[in-house]
Amino acid sequence: MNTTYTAEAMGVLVFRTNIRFKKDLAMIAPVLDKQPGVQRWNVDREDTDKVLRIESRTLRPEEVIHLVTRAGFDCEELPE
Amino acid sequence: MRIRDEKKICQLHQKAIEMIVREGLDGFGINKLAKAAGVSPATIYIYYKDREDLIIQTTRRVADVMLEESLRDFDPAMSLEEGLRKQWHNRAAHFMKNPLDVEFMEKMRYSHLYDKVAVHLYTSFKDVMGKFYHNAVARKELTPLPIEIFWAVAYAPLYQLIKFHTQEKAFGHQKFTLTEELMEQTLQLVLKALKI
Repeated sequence: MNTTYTAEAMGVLVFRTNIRFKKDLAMIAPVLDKQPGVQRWNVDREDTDKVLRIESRTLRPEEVIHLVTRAGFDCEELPE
Repeated sequence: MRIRDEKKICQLHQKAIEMIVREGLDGFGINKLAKAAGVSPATIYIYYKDREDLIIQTTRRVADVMLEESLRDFDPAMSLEEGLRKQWHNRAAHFMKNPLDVEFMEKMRYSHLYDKVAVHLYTSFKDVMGKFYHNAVARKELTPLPIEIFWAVAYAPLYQLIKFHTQEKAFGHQKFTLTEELMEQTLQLVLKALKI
């Protein structure tokens, strides 16, 4: 596994979502993949909060919430 | 920008180990860990991609320490007797000092995640131990054996004694304490079996 800690140089944004199934992932993937500013993203589907984690230097949480909800999912920033 | 906090990471690893040993892998989650460690889930996701990433990184850390301590002051050029004694002492010391880590690795070994960890772990360790074995065979100290057989005879007795020790009793209610003398006595039996 190639674990690099990009978190220092990169902002990490985390959101509670209802992205639960593979088919949900397939729906959200194109949106996030083509969004400029998203360096890496993943959804922890094993977690109860189905956490969407995004590494980005430029994106603001509101922009992500807008994108994800427009694709039809719940999305709420996890408090620090 | 958030700064990587080593102390926080260590504490998260420690808590994760405790929880997984106590409750198993199935019920383990970022949320639970966050509660137990007194941090927010968001903080944990700064450092780890997801649940699996956290478990894998924790396992690698535990295993790295284990292997490092087992190789401390060990030289593959040592004689069979000297080298085995060093290994036994190093391992026993580590096991006694970190019983929770050992229990954790035991749990991980039977998990589907273990393969993802193992591939990266044992390369240098295997290399050193392989050299030790081949040196001993070349010096005609050691009966050539399939490596698994060598391993089983060389280390299983030690691990069983450690188990008795940490369970604090062997048979019945008698308390068992692994002493230097008992370890040496057992080591001599093992050497007798392995030596040409």
